[in-house]
Amino acid sequence: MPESRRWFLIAGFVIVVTGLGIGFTAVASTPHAVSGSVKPSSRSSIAATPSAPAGHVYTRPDAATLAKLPDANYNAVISGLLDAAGSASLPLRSETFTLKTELTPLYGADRSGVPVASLPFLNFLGSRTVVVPVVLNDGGWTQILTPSRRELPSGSGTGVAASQTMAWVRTDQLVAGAPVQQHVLVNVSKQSLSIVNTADGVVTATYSVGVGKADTATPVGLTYLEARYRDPKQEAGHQIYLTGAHSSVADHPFGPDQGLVGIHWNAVNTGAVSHACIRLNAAGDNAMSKLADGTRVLVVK
Amino acid sequence: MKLKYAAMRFWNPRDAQGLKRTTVLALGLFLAVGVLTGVHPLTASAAPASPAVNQCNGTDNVGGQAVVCDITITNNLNLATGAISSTVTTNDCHGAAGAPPPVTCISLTQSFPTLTTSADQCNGSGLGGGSNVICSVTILNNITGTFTATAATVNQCVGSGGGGGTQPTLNCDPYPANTTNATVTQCNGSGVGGGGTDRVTCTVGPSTITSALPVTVNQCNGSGNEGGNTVTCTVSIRNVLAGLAPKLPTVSG
Repeated sequence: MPESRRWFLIAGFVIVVTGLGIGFTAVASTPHAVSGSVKPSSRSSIAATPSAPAGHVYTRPDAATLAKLPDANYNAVISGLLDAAGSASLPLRSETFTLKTELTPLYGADRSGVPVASLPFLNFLGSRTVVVPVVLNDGGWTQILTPSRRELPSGSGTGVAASQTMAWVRTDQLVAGAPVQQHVLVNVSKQSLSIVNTADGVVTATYSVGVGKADTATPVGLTYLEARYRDPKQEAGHQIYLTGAHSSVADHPFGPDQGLVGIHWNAVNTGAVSHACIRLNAAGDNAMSKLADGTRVLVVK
Repeated sequence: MKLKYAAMRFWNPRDAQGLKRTTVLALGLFLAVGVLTGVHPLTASAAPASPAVNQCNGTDNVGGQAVVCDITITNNLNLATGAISSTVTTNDCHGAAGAPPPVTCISLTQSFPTLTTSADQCNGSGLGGGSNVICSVTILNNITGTFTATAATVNQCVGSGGGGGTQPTLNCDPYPANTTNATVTQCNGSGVGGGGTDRVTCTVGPSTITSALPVTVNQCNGSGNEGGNTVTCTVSIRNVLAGLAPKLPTVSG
């Protein structure tokens, strides 16, 4: 082999090997790119919001800072909260938690930044706040469903707003509670509510329900049973199962509060009749009474 | 129904089987810890002078089991008239250990013409290997009249988390907390037997106590004492001025 040709082959070999090495190094240093391009999971799409940078050391805000944050209650509108629309495609979890301290900071997309709200130890009833995780313990953080709105439909620009919000919390701020083994499946078009064993998908009971009218439709997506109470001024004193969801198309479809979606008995409990709530008959009301707070409610079209 | 609940309050037959197998180990260990540390001993089995709720004591001690129990007590007291009442909700859940444990529950809510001033649960339980003990107590005292509330005293996580495992084995708040005759006594002599980090996670959330309506909580003592067990227990006690009814949300209907 002529010397010039031998050197040409050697140079080509070096170029190829170098190129492969650079390519391998680039891939190895961007693991998210690999996992994202090969097998994008629904979970990764939820966690795709900016996270805390590697090496970031979390520091809990002091009491004064926490006290200044908006309270993420059922009647608040907090823009920093996240839209939980994508959470409906995730496998339903069964864990529930309560909170460890008086005020727990909630974080939006930027977990390394400042908290956007706080979640109180006790809810509006004076009962312990029940926390429902969507993504559990991602690098010390857990994504949870939250009771507040993030925007009003009228202010969204499209007339449609997120019905359910979520936020990140530090996992070590949560205390394990009793897991829930069943969830509620509401089919809006079929106007039905089913109780489902989450582990195996077995439907244990189904009831007819009334759902939202065309202009105050019951919002679809994942929500949860936030609390239950009786109010003589509402629904003839029957138990109201408050969900974390809000009307996605009307600011205040009924009453002064933030378009709260409840599940409750009503004398008119079939058809598209409500202002977003899910209306039960007596049998459905009885079935709902056996489900714990923290039970997931999945509303589908 | 009321008879069933009354029986559960003072003597739960389910507890008997577990106690036969575990009394010497659980109470002996905890008493020994108490003698050594000055902690007041386990009081769950003592007959209380006032109504008490007892559940999930001496249960799920075979191994690989979970006991998940909670008690919610709402007391109503009118200091001027002496009118009293209480509502008690209990969840009594058992099943296999797991994360989370797949348990089945019995829930019960009942009202009483008395105050309910003591909650005892999850003591001497979860003593087989690889078990989970997850228990909580929430007490809300609605008081009509003038009263003074101070921070609840706590005795918890004393003599717990030993037997090996990567530190920290304790995740307790507040800690240390070893007040004698405390309002809350929990997680003492528990999680002893090796296992994971933070295997004893016990917290007392923002809690107050008042002499107008003293209450006590004893839970998760002498529990979870085998390898690979976890003990997670929480307490909240609030004393609030009655008549300040919360604003109830108006749903969309």
